[in-house]
Amino acid sequence: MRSAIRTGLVSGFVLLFFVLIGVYTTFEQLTLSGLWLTIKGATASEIAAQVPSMTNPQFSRIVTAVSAIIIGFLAARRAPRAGAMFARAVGATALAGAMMGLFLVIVDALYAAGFNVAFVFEKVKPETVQALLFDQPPLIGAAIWVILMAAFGVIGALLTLGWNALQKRRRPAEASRASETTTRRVQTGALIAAGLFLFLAPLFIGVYWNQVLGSIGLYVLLGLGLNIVVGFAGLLDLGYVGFFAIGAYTMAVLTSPNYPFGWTFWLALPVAMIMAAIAGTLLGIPVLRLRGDYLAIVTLGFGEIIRIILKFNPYTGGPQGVLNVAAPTFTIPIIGYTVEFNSSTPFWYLIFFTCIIVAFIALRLNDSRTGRAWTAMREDEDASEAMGVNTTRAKLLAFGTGAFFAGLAGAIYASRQQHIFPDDFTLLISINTLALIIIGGLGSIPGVIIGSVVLIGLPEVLRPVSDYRLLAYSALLVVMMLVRPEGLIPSARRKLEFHEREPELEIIESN
Amino acid sequence: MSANPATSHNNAPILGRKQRPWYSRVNWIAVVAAIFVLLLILRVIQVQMDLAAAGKSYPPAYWAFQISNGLVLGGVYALIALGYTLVYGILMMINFAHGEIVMFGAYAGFFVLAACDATGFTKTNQVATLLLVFGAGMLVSMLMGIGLERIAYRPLRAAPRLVPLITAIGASVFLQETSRLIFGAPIRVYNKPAMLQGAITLPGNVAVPITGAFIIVASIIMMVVLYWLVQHTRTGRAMRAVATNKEAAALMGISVDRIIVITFAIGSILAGAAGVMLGFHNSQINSTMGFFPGIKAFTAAVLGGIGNIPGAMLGGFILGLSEALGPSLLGIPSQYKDVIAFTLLVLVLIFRPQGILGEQLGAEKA
Repeated sequence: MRSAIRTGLVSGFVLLFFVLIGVYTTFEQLTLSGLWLTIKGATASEIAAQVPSMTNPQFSRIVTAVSAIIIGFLAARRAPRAGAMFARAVGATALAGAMMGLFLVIVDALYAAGFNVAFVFEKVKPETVQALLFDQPPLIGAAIWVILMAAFGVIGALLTLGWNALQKRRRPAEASRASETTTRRVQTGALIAAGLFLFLAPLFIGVYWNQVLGSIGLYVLLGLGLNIVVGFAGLLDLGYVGFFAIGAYTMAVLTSPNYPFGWTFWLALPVAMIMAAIAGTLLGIPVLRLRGDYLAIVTLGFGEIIRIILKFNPYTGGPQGVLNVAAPTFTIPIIGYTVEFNSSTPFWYLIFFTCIIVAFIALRLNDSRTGRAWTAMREDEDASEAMGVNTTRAKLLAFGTGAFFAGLAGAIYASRQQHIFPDDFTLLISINTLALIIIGGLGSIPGVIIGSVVLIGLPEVLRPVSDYRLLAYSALLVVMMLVRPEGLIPSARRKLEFHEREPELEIIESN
Repeated sequence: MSANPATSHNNAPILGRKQRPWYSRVNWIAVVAAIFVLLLILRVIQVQMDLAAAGKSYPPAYWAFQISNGLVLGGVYALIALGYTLVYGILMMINFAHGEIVMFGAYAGFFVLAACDATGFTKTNQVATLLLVFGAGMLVSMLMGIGLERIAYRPLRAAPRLVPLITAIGASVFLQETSRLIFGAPIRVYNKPAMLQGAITLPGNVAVPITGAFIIVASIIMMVVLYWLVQHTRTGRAMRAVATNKEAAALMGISVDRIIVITFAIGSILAGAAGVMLGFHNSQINSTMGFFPGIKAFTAAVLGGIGNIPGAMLGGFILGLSEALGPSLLGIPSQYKDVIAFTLLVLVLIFRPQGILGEQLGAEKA
């Protein structure tokens, strides 16, 4: 019973948190037709024109119902008998509902007494409270909350029952492992299908989604580079955006007509990458002796220094940035046809092939002598040094390689955007990239791709609620670290690392 | 920068102390540091001479104002840095979300202040209002700190070091976004009570804002209280014991969990006070206000020697002063003042990683 009370209290607080950050009011703007238009790539104003009334309480009600079912499910999970299950689920959901009701009653009373609650909690407006109380008098509204939540809790308990029955049935079947070659074949097939889809995608998705696809691809590039530094070598680098910025600005300054160089994209590309790699190695030198925490702060400071210098330095255009970055042209060898990079489609192909090449390089690097040195260094720096790994070299190589790929991403980004501004390169990009490689699974290359799709692509579908994007990222980051630190698609080694203790414990217990 | 011992071992056979060539006996790090300091001094002299030659020297009152400004910033940085140092001393982790605790303290103080203003309480009881504002900021920050430790850090105490660090970064962004979403867009302005308005005029026509003087005095008082608490009370002794060796402290009957919670609470109380001070000093608050002071305060903690309480105070004041005076002394635009803090951090980490007052740290602490 105690665990049920705890679940109820915690979920009650989560529900209140949702009210405070305005989930209920914002989700009302989410309608099915609006969602469909977003997926089709319409702009916000187009959606507003076609869906005149954007308020729709259904979504917030669905959110409430789903959360109640989840609360019930969680509360009933560990109960021994079916009766206890229902009692716990209903108890927890009713408690959460009661907390919500109490809160609404208090806020309603405060408004009635003349206190402007919205001065402190901006999203808790009188009409929100009224809507949440189902337009009933406060006490009746609160009672409805308790009853409704309890009712959904019953559904949650039923789900738990079903889930447990499923688990029981599945357990014996688990013993016979599906043959590994079949899974491997399925995986390869899925990979080829996904690749083919992405290759042909620009032909049938609209301009908007083409742009989104490009952004995802650029984040994949950034993620692959950062994955080398953080995932392979275990050096937490928060100034990664600095190298991205160096790549972008090098490309911009070398190709923009506002500067005397006037190089072509293909000539500037390697220079941008090398500049970023040099910066990465230079940053590596002072932080060689530092571990974990210091490294994070120093690199963060470095990223900010680069942004501030770019922003207040007249040569790089100050806050106005650099305009008219050149786009590449590409002549297809045998046919002799010249592609002008004047839309997002050719850029998508550029990013697509670059991603494949970089992913291949990263994969091979991880299995190379250097990659093994990185792994050893990540696991235990002193031990790896004792085994003959030159950690200085390994660290500088990791920083340099990571920065090299960031420079590549930056150069493509500058060319694709045409105009770049210093405030494009905030800490946020570093944090986004870090979040996507961690959520995907540190050190895992498919993880980077999945992470980018989930973190960069998915929010585009849910544009009406994009205000919550960063909140969701950061919450995911924390929850991920608490629950599944190895990420969605962990690399085999990480999986072992984080669960290395468990088999031992099982042996001890069985003895 | 420094000759790597591993490579030099590989290249040459180990020589006896007397046979070592002169260039390996020189402390190159010290030499580079000395050259660097010399260049810095030369640059300062050159800039000031140029200004004097152009007849555009800063008047003494300007310097005095900048110094007082630096001391105010320094006091605030020192208070925040103490939170980092206390937690780092015990858990060996950077509480990245410490800056956000500062921000929540500032918001709590603001709402109490606004309530006092609205009811007219401020006009009649200024001292009580100030106490209430600081009390609210400190209380809310303390609760935040304890909650953060309980939810985000305690379950990860045995995890690899990267894991709590990433959690802390996530928590920092989460709290920042939470405050942005909950408290919303409007700019919140701290209205100073009448007793904090105006300026004291010191001899030599130097005007120091009363807010500034108040912040300096208040922060120094809090630091003295903290120092006494850590050095002369039972709890303080237990904190030092846990910082030195967790296992041994546990064996001596100290509840390590309790001490960690107390440490977070104390650090967060100081952060809350610093948040309210920042509110009065800058007169505007927003959800990102805590992040950079937080990072800079960490720099201050490293500067003074992380894990060292007087070091954090000293580091805070040094950082505050160099940020306030640096741009005018070195003749660089004031927008680069953030660069000064980070450059200082990098330089300290290269030349004296243990900080000014810090002792040599063991491998597991560095």
